[in-house]
Amino acid sequence: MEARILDQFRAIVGRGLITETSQLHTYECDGLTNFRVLPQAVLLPALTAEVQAIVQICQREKIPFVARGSGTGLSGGALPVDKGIVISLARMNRILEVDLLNARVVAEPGVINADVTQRVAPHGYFYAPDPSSQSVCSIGGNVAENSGGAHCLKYGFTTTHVLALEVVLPDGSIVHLGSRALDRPGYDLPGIFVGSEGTLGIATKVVLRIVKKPAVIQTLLAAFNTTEEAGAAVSGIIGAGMLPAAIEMMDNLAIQAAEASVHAGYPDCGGLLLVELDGPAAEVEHLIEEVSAICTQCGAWEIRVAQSEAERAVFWKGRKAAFAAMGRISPNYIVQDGVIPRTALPKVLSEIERMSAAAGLRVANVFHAGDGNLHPLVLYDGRIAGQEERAMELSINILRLCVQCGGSITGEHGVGEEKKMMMGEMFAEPDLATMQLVRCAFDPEQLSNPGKVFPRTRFCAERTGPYQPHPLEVAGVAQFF
Amino acid sequence: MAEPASIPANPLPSARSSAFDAHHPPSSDLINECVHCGFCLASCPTYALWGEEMDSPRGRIYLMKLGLDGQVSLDATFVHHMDNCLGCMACMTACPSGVKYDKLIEATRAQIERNYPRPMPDGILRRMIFEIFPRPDRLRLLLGPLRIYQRSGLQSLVRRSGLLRLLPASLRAMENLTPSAPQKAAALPERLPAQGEQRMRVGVLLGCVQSVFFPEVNAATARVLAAEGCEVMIPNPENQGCCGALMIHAGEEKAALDYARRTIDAFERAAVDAIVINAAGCGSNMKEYGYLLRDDPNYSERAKVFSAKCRDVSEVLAALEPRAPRHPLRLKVAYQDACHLQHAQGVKMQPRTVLATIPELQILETAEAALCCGSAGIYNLVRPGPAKELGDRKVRNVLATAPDIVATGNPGCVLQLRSGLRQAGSDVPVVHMIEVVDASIRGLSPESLLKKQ
Amino acid sequence: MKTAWNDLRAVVGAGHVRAGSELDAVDVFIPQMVVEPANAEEIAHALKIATDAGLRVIPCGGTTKRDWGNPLRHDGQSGELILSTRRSNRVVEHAWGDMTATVEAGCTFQQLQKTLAEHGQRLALDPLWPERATIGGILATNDSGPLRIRFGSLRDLIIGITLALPDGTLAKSGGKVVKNVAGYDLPKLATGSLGTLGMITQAIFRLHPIPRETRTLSFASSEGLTSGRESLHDLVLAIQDCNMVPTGVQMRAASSPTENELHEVDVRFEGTTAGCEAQIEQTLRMASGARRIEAPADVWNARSTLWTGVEPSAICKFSLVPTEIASFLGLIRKVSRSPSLHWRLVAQAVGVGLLRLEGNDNATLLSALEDLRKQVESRGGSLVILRCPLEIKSKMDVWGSASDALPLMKSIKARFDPRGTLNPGRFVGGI
Repeated sequence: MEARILDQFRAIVGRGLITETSQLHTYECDGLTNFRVLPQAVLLPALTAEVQAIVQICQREKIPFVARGSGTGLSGGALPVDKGIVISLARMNRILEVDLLNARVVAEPGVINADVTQRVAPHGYFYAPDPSSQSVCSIGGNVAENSGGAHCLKYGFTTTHVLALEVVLPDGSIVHLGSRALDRPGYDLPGIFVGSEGTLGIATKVVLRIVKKPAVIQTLLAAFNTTEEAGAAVSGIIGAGMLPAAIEMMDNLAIQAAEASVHAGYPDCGGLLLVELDGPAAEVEHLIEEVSAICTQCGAWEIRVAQSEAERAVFWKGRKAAFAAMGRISPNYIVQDGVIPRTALPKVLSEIERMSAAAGLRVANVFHAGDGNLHPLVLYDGRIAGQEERAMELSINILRLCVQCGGSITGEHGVGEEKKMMMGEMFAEPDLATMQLVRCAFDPEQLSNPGKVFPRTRFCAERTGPYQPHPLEVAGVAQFF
Repeated sequence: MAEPASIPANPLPSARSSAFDAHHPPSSDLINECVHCGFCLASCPTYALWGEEMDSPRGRIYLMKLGLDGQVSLDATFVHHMDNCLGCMACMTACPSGVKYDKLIEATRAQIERNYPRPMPDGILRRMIFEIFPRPDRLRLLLGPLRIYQRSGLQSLVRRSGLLRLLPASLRAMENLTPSAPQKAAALPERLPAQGEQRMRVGVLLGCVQSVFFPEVNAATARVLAAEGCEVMIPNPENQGCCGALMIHAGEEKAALDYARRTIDAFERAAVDAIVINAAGCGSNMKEYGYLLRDDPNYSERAKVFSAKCRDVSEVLAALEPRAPRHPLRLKVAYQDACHLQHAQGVKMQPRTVLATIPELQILETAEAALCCGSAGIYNLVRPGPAKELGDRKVRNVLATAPDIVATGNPGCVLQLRSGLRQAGSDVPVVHMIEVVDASIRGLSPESLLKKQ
Repeated sequence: MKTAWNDLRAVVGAGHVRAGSELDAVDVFIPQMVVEPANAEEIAHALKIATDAGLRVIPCGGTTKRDWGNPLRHDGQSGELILSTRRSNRVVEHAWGDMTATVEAGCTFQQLQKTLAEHGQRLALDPLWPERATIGGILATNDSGPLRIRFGSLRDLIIGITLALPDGTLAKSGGKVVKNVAGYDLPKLATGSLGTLGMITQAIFRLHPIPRETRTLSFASSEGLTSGRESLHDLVLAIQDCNMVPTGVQMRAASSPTENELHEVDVRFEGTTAGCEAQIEQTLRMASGARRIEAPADVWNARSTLWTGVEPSAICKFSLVPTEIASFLGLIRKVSRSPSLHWRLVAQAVGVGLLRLEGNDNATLLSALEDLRKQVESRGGSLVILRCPLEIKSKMDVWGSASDALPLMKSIKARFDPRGTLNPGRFVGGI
């Protein structure tokens, strides 16, 4: 990068400018290591004004930029862009305001998810979206990916809990989307910004909704011989008109990894269900018995109900550590994030089993069974020739299966870099073109995290409607990837 | 007997372009256990201070990997980030994949000490530390001048005058951390019999800084163990020697191994059931002797046996049914977990269990308990800036609990906390947790503990 | 215009294109044509024809909220037509095992609920005029009621949408599963957009079970005392601060000739019998300072009663943070004092509510509205006029002050509807 541009950056962030190659290497990927791109520079602003000044330079010099929180994303959303810079929001990590009476918290994007809950917990509140990485992931990252978590079945996702945002747009202007009061007149801009994976601008302040802690939380663990039986129990629970706070399922391979890592004491079974109910005491006590009965009916041979907060934490420990614990039973793994309609669960599980056997690879399964969000972990050994390719192919085929069953290619990890080529399997050209109209309205110069989410960058002068091939394409001279 | 494997004077590079030499580079198998999930970031003190990926465990492991691949060299930047690491091992507690970061950073530090020529002032400071700290005899020589400096009023004058601000940061830190020269203490005997029926025979490590500056902690340790039915053996109490912790944590591999061998020799002769350690850093190091001496055919087996017997004093006491009656101590104690106890050794409940045997004692938990106080071996001397930031943060968290007294399990932490509390204008005393137990058994008043400074 | 007429008849059938009449008026404006396509493809095609012909299009469903928004901007040159979803009204699919439903925009809310009830499920929403209001219109105006406190509003219930763009594109976004972050969240963008970005042809919703039991409690302030009113406000805040899960917390208030303002609070619980009873007990304990009354009939549809009364009147939707509602009531009191205006309001504890102001003449009404809006906006809230005399509409923007995001909104509008076909001028900031 030209020295004069670096000087301009230095003038803004002072020592918050990283330019040495060895240091830049540590930013060349996020939680997904399959893709690496070396950024030209990494900047760590501490204030909105600094973010704005940086983006203004990028606008002037046409430098693409990628915003990064804690770098724990699993789809390459924070993967740097060729010839671009990384803007790390890690230093903007203050909780600016806590308004308990109105159940709102204002946080900077670098605030850690779990810290929001920690701050309001003494007053009986919590911040509901709880991805497994909540001890380290940032609010800004959650906004970009519309993160969910185990409890989003009942409480909803990040977008349900973001009321307003202060955003630096790619043209360097600052806008305020939404408001603390509900239903601000106009388009639901917070709604379109949350989940846009950093492609529409950089959020520098977020107004979050916090939720009152329920009176009572009861967590139940049930052991089944097979995931089919566990899945039937899930259908039974939902069919009985109950809406638990969370329903999680793990298969035997996932249980083994979790046990090796955190020793949660899980029963050694084919399928484990973790069901959490919360609400008024009388309601929960009644419903937990119903859940227990349904599980037994579906074949559960062991049922445990947590008797204390400590025991509940242990139940969850294994589930929350499941991904990273895979490192203990396999040198490498790819975690996927497909969604299927709940009723398709048994069919998909058996199909995954068949596909993994055919590919000669093991697949551990962890799911948010309540909302059909699967996390198949394709295990492989990168040192053995050909395994990584087979693993990637298998994981793509699993996603394809999800789409065929009427589901989605991503429930919470985002499309990012990793799955953009699959967007075409889920959406037709007109659908993608229409979404990109939004992109062009916010970022006509395509500077904000360009190249992510959409398989083919549409130039903003293009029209929607059925895809019109370029004459060169028709002539067979050129080709779009 | 075969010669012990010695470290080559100039080891060859291990691969065509690896940044490391061939003698125990950071293991690529261990590095591959890291799946880059980032769970460690939230627990790392330097990431908490700066928010930069290079100063996080994940980033350091990545740099090591790049070093192995030859993409980065052992240059000033690389060394800077490795030096920034406190070695607190909080990341190991947080890591879901069980990455053995301790082995990785140890190997890397050793590589740095062998292959990176440190700039002069840095090098001199380190040399000075390694020549003096592990040698109680040399430390003791400082006591005389120290007593004069402190008791003549010169130290108060220096501190009040603002002269310290003119000193380089490391010397200023050193001044702030300087412990009070203790009263001349009676030497400990080589053997202390168990009171009542003997339950165990234990050896006690006296330590370096601990034995010179906190002899009362060692005395309290011996008394409590004896009171609980342990026969206490103290090999060579006048000049027991260093366990090598400071050396290995700083990458001084050869010296560390020498000290380890001598420590093993000393305690083997005493033939004890357990070796009791009251300094967290020493304990974590001694539990690793089996790994440290794995290349030495004369010591590898003996070291494994030795390490298996090493225990922190709180572990030993927590495993024994309390026998000596405890007198009440109405005190609010903020217990501070030393990193080398809670993270490196996984010892967290035991000190609390032991303190809980004292009637009327209230144990207060501090916020950010997993975050290092900044002592981290010699870190507060070589990296005074971040050490002070972390120390001040720990002090704020401690004072927020409004304690009467602070108890911990490591002399380094004691020094760091005392310095930090004093600079914050607080007179809350800091003691080793064994002193609290000792006071309770001896029926001393709470005031006797509060007077300690 | 003539060619458009013929083209449209060719697409939807001659019997489904007719001339506009007084019955079709939007404010006082009568469109030239009313077109009723049968399905999404016909809607998209009709839109394209209209756009190519330079016509303006007013999407229409059950016409219950047809005059919401600013007056239509028309230049006298181009023609206007109403595009009605009346015939595109099927419940396409009820995947009750997955608790989702796909429904065409012209389906009435009541028809949808009836269908879903066959498997014990519902769309957890309570909009105005459910027998006539269509899904498309409810979405376009972002209408929500008391259930919001527990289930969120439309943005939290919609999971997929199909939009017909003015250039004839039919674009899908979202999907049939609740958890889905693939691509941008266009369902949210379309919700509340008053049909200015595209015409909603189909929506997919997440469903909830029909509750086993429903119980309602109502309270009134003790006789006329100010402290009685305060204790009701405190009750509303306290219920939100505790850990019960009501599915409705509503406040109804009205001015009265004497100082005895009417203030009543309704609280609703759903779930198991045991759960409801425990929460009722807890509420009664908390409400010791208030007077329990019998819940009025159909109290959870109280909002719709604001549309009847003395004219001239203005009905507006206000939104504030919950702690500001009490002082807002004080504001209304002040503003309506002299010359005296009567008012009634129905507010939800989350901070959203409807207010009806009745006055002697348009001028006093206008001045009161302007005053109220200024105060509400200074507290970070909003005041949107839903219905008022045309004279007031011509002098006061119904939506309120535009935010600094207006240029961004205009930019989005320009991308979706470059020729300004859909509802020109009726939205925020003149969009």
